[in-house]
Amino acid sequence: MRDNGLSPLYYTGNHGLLNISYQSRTDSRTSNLEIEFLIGDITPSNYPELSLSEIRNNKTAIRYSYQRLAPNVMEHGKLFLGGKWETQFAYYIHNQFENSSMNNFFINTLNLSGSLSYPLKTNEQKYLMIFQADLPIVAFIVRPSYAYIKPKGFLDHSQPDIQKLMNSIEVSSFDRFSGMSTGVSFEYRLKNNHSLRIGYNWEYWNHQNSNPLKSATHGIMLQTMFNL
Amino acid sequence: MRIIFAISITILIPLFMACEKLMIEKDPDNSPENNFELLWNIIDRNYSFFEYKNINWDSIKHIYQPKINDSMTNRQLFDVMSDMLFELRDGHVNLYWGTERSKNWDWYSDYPANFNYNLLEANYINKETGSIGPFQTASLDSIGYIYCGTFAERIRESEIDIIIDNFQDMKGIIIDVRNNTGGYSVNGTIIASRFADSMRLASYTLYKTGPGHGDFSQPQPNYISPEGEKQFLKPVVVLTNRRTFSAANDFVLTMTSLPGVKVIGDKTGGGGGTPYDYELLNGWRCRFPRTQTLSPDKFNVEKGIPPFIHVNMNVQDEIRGMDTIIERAINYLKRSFSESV
Repeated sequence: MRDNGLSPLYYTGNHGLLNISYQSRTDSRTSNLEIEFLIGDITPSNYPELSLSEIRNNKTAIRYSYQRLAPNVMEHGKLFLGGKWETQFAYYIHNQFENSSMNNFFINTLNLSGSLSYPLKTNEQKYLMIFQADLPIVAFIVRPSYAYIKPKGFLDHSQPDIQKLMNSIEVSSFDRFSGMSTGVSFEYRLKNNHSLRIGYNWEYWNHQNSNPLKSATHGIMLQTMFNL
Repeated sequence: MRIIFAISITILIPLFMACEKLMIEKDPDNSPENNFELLWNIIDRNYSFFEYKNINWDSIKHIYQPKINDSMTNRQLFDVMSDMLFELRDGHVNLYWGTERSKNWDWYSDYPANFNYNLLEANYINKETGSIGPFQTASLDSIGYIYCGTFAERIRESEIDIIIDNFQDMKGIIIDVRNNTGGYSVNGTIIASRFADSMRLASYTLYKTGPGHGDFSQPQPNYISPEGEKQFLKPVVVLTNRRTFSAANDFVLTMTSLPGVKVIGDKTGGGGGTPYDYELLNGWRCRFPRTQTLSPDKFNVEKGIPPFIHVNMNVQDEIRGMDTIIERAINYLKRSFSESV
């Protein structure tokens, strides 16, 4: 991550992640609601031995996606297309800074969403390989233009709270906010109809304002799916 | 077909990872040139007083950049960078290298001290003195005296409430913030709220909103309102000198928005911008202001707040054990009290 509102340096590190989701899946559609908590420490990537800096990074994300089957596209696999709504709130604290130690952002995106699921069979074991990709189209962003500084109108005493919040929202599209989320996973269905899934996710996004913020995440995911 | 599909999908992942290296470029090499360039750019994009102080930052770069080379030591680099930052003439601008810190003392070093703590301790705060939190208090001939030499620690609201309660019968109060070089701005708000009669506009803050030297938000108003168990609404004098700086400067500004409050002493040291931190490739840190503070009538307080009555310490008074500024404040408050009766 590089958030020029906080530091010009490129920060990297490992995080722990907990994801709880509810998925509804039929032959013709899938929908998924999930909440995700992420916490970890990141340090300057290039010269960690020179710096005592460390950022505690916390993020919560809520996502809802709905996809319908695109007919007659593949012989064996299934292509689902739809949309995804994602909202994420992050705040991070720099251990070496004083007035500017805290930073935060709130980003709400509407995405085009697609997934390919493809059955695989090895040694009589059946797997489902799923490739998914999301592309943000519109983003609603509340991100202070400088670290720990009130965004315009956000804390203006003379305005009601809701109005302050509304004034702070920036609506962006590809010109100022771009990104992509993609991943591949293998799902193994157990005899009791529950499933195990292992996957890899990659997410990148880029917000361009006077202090550009770029963030990329690689995630390895182990999931237990209960058939309700 | 299935194997081809699986392989093609798994090839996409390394491809994305490769793209990421293009999308988020790595930091440049940790060289003196790159650190100098980074520091200059950080200041250029974020420092808030270029226009107010009429500083040509480009020409300063032309002076100091030729002194940078790849073979220089850290000590040499630190000295050149510190000299460059010194050009900003700002007490809120620092460069940190481990425990070492570059500073600018111009805001008080060329002016009279106007403060003698030994004298204060010997002849004022020792009489019926009290110490509550960071405050030292005394009763000086029916005038309450509060010395607050620092805002480095957050004060408790109960501490100032006790003092206000103790001083309810006084004819007036002196709040001495000489040599208070700041700390938590909220301390000033907590103290001032005990002297506020109603909600009043205390100051405006301008926030940097872009990389241009003149990119600022509209002035954001800051208000002061009555808080605490009791208010003290009789005449109040705030004592200042050139070492009254930063959060203490903000406190003086807030107090001047209240009726019945006068400032006596020397002009404050200023420091109206809130300092923020940044870091360099080599792990060094710099700190500098990214806001501006204006009085309710839009006067920029970066270079200090002039007193209502300018008084310097008199050497002869000091020899006699008297603090000229405190004595002047006592006389002013007694006169104000007698005129109001």
